[in-house]
Amino acid sequence: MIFWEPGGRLGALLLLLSWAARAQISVVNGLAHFHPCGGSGHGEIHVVNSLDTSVTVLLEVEYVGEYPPISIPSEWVLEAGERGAIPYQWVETDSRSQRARIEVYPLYTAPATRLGGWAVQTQLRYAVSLYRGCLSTSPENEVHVEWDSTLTWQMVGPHFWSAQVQAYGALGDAIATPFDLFLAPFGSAVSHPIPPGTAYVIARDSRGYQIGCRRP
Amino acid sequence: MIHAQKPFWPYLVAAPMALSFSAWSQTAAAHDIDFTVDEAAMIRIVDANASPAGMMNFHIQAPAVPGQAFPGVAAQTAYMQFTSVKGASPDNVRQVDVDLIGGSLPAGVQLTVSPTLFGTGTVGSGAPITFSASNGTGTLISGIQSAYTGEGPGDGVLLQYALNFATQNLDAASSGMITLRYTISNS
Repeated sequence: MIFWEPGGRLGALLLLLSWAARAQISVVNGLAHFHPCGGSGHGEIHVVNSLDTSVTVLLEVEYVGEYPPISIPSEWVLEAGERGAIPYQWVETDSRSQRARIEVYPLYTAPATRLGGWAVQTQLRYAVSLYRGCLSTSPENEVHVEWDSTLTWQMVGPHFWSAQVQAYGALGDAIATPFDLFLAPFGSAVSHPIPPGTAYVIARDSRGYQIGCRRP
Repeated sequence: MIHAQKPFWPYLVAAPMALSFSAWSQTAAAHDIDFTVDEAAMIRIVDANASPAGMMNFHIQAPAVPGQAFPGVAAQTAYMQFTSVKGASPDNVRQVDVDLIGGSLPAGVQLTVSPTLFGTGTVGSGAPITFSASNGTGTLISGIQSAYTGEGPGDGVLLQYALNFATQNLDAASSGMITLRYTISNS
């Protein structure tokens, strides 16, 4: 929100940074939820109000497509100190890969204004990513890996894939700690640095599917 | 979120055994533990007193001598305090983005937000964002995993706000309000 007021004295602009973000809420059950196909089509976003007054939490759904894939309340009131579970439901629970992003933020009151001033209001927001779909059973065909200055993974198939990536040296010794990899079928890629001395990497999921990539 | 839950039937088997053993010996005990760890994301912006609300004043004042340009104004600071406990992928890494969602800066006037990271754990890495008439978004902190910054005065990610301008771009007839929105999300 911006407003420009006339009447400031020549040579004197007053810029005010106004910290209006008094409302204090937190999200305590994660900023990303994955729902495998075949499972339930509902979930919850847990929000805590740490103030001693009630807070109205607003929820907005960001999505791609003609209609939102998620049904979720647009508003939720939390009493002082209350921990609330805001339910959501996937509209379609078939095997199709879907995603949505829920913006969670408190209702902000209109900031105070000052004549001749220039103010910056601050707001805080949580973004919770929701995914639903089937996990890949053939990552060797669906996952593209590119070894450059970094290692870049991309899901080129229609499924999700979640795995742990381990780097190995030339003698097969594990290098560094493994890290989690989550690939979604929407074109986005995941890049990460390659530990020094890495000869090859292997990504394994919890069901035993794995793919490897050797230093070119 | 980790949630471990055991089936109930072992209790039915174990209960009579435990009762009979306890008649002559009580040297060992065991019980299942059901534990839950909040996959928390908590963030706030405070002033130097750790107060969640406050105000910063920048005075853009006339120079002392006619013919001089307007002097620059001193940067102001605030603190971003957060607690983050990561979960399994895809919520294993988080970031904080800042968007200018309300208002705009006049051409030639820039507001730079520069983070200096302090905290315990994997607090990530920071990068400054310069807001201007042509740029209204950026990633301030990336690579946050499980970490906390502290909650007291002076704790947290130091945010420095610097206003850059040229005298010829100022217009005293203008004043205004812009809204910066900080968003924490999974990367």
